[in-house]
Amino acid sequence: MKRKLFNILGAVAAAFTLAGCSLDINEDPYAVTNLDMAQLLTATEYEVGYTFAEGHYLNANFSAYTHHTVSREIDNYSLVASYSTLGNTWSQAYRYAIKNCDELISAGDEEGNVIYAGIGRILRAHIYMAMTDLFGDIPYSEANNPEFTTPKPDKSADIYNDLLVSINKAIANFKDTEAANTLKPGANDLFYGGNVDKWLKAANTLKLKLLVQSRLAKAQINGWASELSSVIAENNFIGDGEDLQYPHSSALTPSDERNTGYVDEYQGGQKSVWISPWMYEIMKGLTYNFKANPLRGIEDPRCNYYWYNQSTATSDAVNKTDYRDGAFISIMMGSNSGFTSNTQEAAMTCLGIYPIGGKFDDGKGGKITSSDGNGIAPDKMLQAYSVPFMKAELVLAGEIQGDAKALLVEGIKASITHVNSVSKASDASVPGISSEATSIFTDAVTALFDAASAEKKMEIVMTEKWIANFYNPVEAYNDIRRTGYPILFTGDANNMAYTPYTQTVEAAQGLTPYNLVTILKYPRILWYPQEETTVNPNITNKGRVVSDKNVFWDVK
Amino acid sequence: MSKNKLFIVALLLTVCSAAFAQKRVSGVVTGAEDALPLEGVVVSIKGTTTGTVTDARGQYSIQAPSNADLEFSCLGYETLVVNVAGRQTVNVSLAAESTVLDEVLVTAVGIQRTERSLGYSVTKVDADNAVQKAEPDLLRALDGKIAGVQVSAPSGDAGGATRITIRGNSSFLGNNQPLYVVDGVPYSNDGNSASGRGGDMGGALGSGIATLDPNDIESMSVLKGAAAAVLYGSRAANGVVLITTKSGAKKTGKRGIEITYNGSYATESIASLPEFQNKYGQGSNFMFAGSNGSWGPAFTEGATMDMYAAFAEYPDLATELYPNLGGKIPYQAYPNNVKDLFRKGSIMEHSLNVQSLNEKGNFNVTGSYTDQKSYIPGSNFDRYSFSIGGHQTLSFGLRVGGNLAFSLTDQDSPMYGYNQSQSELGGLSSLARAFIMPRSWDIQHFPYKTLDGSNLLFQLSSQANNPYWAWENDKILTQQKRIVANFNAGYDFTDWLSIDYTLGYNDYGRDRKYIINTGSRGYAGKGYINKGVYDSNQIESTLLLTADKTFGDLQVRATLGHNYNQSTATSFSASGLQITNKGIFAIDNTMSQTASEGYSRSRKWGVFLDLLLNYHDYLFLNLSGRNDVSSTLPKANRSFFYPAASLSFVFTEAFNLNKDILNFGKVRASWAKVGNDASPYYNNGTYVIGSPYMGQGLMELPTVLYDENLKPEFTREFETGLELKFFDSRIAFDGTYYNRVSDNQIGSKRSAPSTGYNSFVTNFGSIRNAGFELGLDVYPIVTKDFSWSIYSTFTKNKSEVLSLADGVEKIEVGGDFSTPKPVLMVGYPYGVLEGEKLARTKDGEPLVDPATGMYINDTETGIIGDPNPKYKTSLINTFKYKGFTFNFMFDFQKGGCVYSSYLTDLLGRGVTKDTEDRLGSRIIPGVYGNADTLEPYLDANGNTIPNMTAISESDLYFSDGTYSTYAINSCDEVAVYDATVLRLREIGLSYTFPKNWVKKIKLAGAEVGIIGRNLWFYAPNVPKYSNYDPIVNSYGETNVQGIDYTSAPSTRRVAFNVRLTF
Repeated sequence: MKRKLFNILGAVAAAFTLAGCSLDINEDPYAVTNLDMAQLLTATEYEVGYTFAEGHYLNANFSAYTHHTVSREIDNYSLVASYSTLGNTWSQAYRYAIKNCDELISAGDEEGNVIYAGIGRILRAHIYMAMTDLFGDIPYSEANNPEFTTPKPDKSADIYNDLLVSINKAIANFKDTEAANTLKPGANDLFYGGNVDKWLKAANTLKLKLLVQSRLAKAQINGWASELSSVIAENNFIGDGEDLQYPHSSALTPSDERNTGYVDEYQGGQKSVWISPWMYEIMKGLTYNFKANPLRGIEDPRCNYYWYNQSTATSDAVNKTDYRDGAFISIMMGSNSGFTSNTQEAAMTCLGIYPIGGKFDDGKGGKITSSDGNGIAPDKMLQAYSVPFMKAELVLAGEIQGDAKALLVEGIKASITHVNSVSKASDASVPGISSEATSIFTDAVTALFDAASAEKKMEIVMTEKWIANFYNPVEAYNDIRRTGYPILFTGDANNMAYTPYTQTVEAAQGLTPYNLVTILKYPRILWYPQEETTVNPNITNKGRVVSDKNVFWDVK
Repeated sequence: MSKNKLFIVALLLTVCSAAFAQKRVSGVVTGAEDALPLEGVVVSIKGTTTGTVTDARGQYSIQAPSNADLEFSCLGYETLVVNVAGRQTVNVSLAAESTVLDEVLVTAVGIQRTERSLGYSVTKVDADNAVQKAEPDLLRALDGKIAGVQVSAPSGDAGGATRITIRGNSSFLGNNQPLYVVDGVPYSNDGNSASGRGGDMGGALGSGIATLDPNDIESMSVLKGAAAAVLYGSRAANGVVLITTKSGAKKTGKRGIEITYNGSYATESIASLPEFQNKYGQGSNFMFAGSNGSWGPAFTEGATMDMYAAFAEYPDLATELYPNLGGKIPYQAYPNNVKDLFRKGSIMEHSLNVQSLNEKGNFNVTGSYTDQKSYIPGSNFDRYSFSIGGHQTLSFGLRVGGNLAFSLTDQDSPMYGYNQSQSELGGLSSLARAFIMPRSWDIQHFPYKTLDGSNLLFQLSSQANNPYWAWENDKILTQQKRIVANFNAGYDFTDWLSIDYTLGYNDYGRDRKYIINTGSRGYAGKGYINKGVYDSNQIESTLLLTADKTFGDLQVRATLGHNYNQSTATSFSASGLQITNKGIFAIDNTMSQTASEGYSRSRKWGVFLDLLLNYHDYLFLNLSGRNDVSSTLPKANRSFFYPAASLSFVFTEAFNLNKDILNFGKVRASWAKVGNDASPYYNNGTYVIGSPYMGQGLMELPTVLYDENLKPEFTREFETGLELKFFDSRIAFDGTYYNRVSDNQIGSKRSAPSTGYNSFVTNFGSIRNAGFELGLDVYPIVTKDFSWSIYSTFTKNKSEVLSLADGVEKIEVGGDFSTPKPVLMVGYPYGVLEGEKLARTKDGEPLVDPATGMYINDTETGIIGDPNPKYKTSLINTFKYKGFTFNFMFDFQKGGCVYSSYLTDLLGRGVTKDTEDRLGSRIIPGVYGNADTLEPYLDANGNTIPNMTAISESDLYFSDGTYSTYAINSCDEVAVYDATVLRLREIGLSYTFPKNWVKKIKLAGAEVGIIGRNLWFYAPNVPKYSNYDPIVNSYGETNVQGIDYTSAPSTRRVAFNVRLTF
């Protein structure tokens, strides 16, 4: 007994004391260690798509800077360096979008799968261009490179030049018939389903965008003129239905595939996006605040698709209103009325079916519930309507030959086509904008256009492009800084704003002026996010004046 | 019991009494206090190995020479030596020991040491300090009772996690809690929370140590410093809490059975309800509006208002409630609308312990049940625990023992957290509107749900849940199970060489379900369920070889040990979206589901040596060292060694000082280094798999980079202390100074986004914690019937981040929102809060926008507060008169801060008396500045211009969002308050019935008591009428401290206790 016990105890103790319980167990059995190009492309598109998705991160309220919307959170251009959405977008761009693009390019090049590499180049150029446009000099040559833990910024012009080379290389990739391309994208390509022709069109369109964006500083871009003439001559751009855009569905699992803006505004707690009264007046042709509205007297047919009025022209608001015109209830940027913080949850005008897959405005009003809409609205990256607008701008600027008026009409029509197709995809029962309505509208705009001075023509083109870009602020912000159009809200000479209805709960007409706070100077660049500056001493906000012109093309 | 006594007892057990031709001496031993017979007193003949033990009647009988010195010794009594002087009967009475001079303490890996031999600080905690304190959480019951130990109780929720830190935070981002070792087996106190407590689906989640039943605790030691903990190695860098349970204790004694019953019943109520104003109701600018604030019109006699539109489903409601108002309802204050939301909570505890003792060992069974109902409806905590264990010495000298403990806890928690979160799953806090609802809401009489059962609030149902609805519907249900099995064996080869082996297994399982019911404000009312299952288990094996030999004046005790630990964790989580059939909360009753799974395992073994040199029982040198080999480090670096040395010198003995005044004096000093390994799976070369999108799989590059050459991290600590006892130990002082530096920490260093990485896990940085721990024991009065004792502690810890990695300005510790956030910055204490701040002039004057009269926010963030207290001190007074004991305990925290969205809500919504005086205008202090340039405006003489722009009282607490005032919509800085607080922590009265009296009713002992906890506190630097307890925080046991997003306010309890011994 005694011996037996000792033997058992000795064996147990020895087992745990001496026996070779292996220490070589530090591999996670659930970790994946082999790269799959197909999945890498899908993930890259997913990450790229979310970087500047409308309603996501920065773009949750950045459209307040382009006066598409008004935001209590970043009212009066108050997007500071510590603001989380700013850091989120920056981080999303570098840590997820660019990083995976780089991997797609190097893995694609290495294995001769150049379609993958070409897609990687286009998506990378798309992200880097937007980042440069928003932040100016940013880490580029030292970014996403293990050798550099604190990447230095590159000059914005240098980045543009390198991106142009990169886009040309992508074009060559797509035209390359010699390459092995043992792996080709198909359904895993969320954007074009592996259609190389469409990718080639997107590459040309992105190139056109780069050249238009840099046209005022063209001397700084290598071969700007020849690049422009060749891409215009080839004239192989994206057209209707060929937009480079990030698709959404109504699915919740395994991923939440709904448009982020929709989730926030229709499913979240409090709505945070107010429609800008400035935008409202321009699209309605009104002049309460914008006395020099270039589109005065013309009502835009896209209004009911852009936003949704929960109120009717006669229903009570929840609380006193800051800005009201009939059923339209919103707040004014920089308002000092005291009513901007009042809740209007059930009365305010909200984003509609086109921007986020919300509700179509049939004019009957009614509070939005969580069963309204479905979030099926794509996020924009490169739009077909931008092509004629860019061409119109080039014509008016004297860079190319062409019929600016025809291009303007083409742009508006492409925008309306997009509004119709997106709205139908979300809700088939929604009536589209008819071609008659479209013609009536374009005729009215062209009448103004014909009568306008050369400068005014540019204003009309850019204002229409800005309308087309509703809730897609990155391109609009570039256009505003490059051309000065559309003219933005600043309050009148007495620093006042106006509401056509009184600021009461009850709906009552009566133009009411009210004070604004001191409107800050227009920011021509964004702060570097604190997310970067605190860990990278080479990127600093010291000495950065956001109202100064910082990006190389911002010379107007 | 001293070693000598043990020796004698051992001899008694093994050696038959030698028969000398001597006289038989007999007698009765009684206690001096109550004259009752004492059982189990060892009676021995001094200078020999002959002895006996008294029986149940206190009687003994021994053969002894007529001139022998008889020694009577018994634990807890002064040892008495009496000369037989020829007598046949020697009756003695033993005086109770006033203070135990030379207590034996359990130190690392179970090594027992006399207190005087310790060269470092170990605090023994009496089990009585933890039980029957109307506090089901063991850790909270200890708050303020141990110098150097900080206990943070986050909220008044039943079962919410508690955090303990010893000597500050040593690890930048890792675990800063001590190692808990229960009967030789490590416990974990991780909460493993699946989601943020401040953000989405926030709750007062419980943590692992809640599975421990305070009633089953025999004794507890806290090893504070590195020197004390070095034998535990890696895991003990933050100190060790050693717990011996009743079932795990190794005891011997006179054969017998003791049955003890502990029972208590406590009532619980909210400790800190604000004092509300009842002059103004819902609205803004003195006008009625459907807003969150009570800034509306003043109440007037007979005022009425329209029925709230939200109750349209109840068309007759107004007439039913107010038949005379013609469909209108009164516009009036409901002074108790907040108070009446809460209930009277309770705690019921029952514990039964059966202990059987014999000369060769013990057997013990404990069963306990705790049922807590918080003052918050829907917040409940139950614990069932059962343990069984024993220990015996077998006939051939083998000592074997084992114990098995099972415990089950059930916690129902409502959801708390940041109430303004706009995300789909956020803003669920059941307290979102509880404290700030308009003063004119008759929430008790109006429906809280729609006819189909959905959340219904007066106006703002889409913003927040009605608290009544939330408590009934949205829940976090947690079940924790723990099974601990322990087996141990030992054998003495010779009288100086022995071997001991312990094998322990600890399995902890947690099952947590989040339910957002259909109709909730969260998840658009569609219903959401998340279920997370987590299981962790540890196998711990320890082998000790101990040699104890005396060479002349030198006693040498050496322990050679081997330790092995394997730790495994698995997790599984599933979410179901959109509940299909109402009221059924199973994942498969949802429209779609997702799931995820995780696994990790690590192993470690170490060898160690502990050497104690004892010279004349007054000079002790202790040397120890341990070498660990860990699976989690790169092969080249996975073996690492760390040493410790400590010295104890009892100078009163060494110099044979006159003991009339100073009866004991000891100095001690130690130095130690403790190593620590990494978490498992710090490997590069893997890809991240995402959930499929549009039916396509996702794979991408990881954003965490691991140092391929990761090394173990080390903490070095120097500690010195002084122990003095005066006037027969009537005054005892124990002071410690320590200085601990942790460097080359393994941590996740934030990488600049432009590097493409989120973080780089490597060795970097250094942090110092230095401080004092003082304890003072005073017995001002000790008489036969009456005694008064005072115990006081003082703890001061100062931490400073000495370095971070090159080029890294700061590191974020955690938190749910971008600001405020606890950060690490060189030159600052651990975890200071960084957040948005006011723009100021160079002289620190805040800038005011001339147009609005409100503060201009800075474009940069800055440090806005330090949550670490400057010091903490406590004072316990105990009075004993015959069987009565009366005690009370105050504690005081100086400094520290809390960022409180709760306070900004109270102020901003105008509900407390702080904002009652609201007529007229206000001018905030500051100077005019330019919001574009953040420069002050200067007058013609170049001087700043004081603000003269008036604003309203409501603007003082509710700004427009662009500019700041003092509460809502303002920058983070204004929401930071000083956390200084004085508290009457505990007050108690108990009575022990006289033994002769209880014997009449066939009991061995009976005690009753009443105790109150947290009856009063005073926080001078928070808004006066908020009655805010600034110690609450939202983040439980995590490293994030000093942030409160409307946690449950603290509780006040009064309990009645009974203890019966059979």
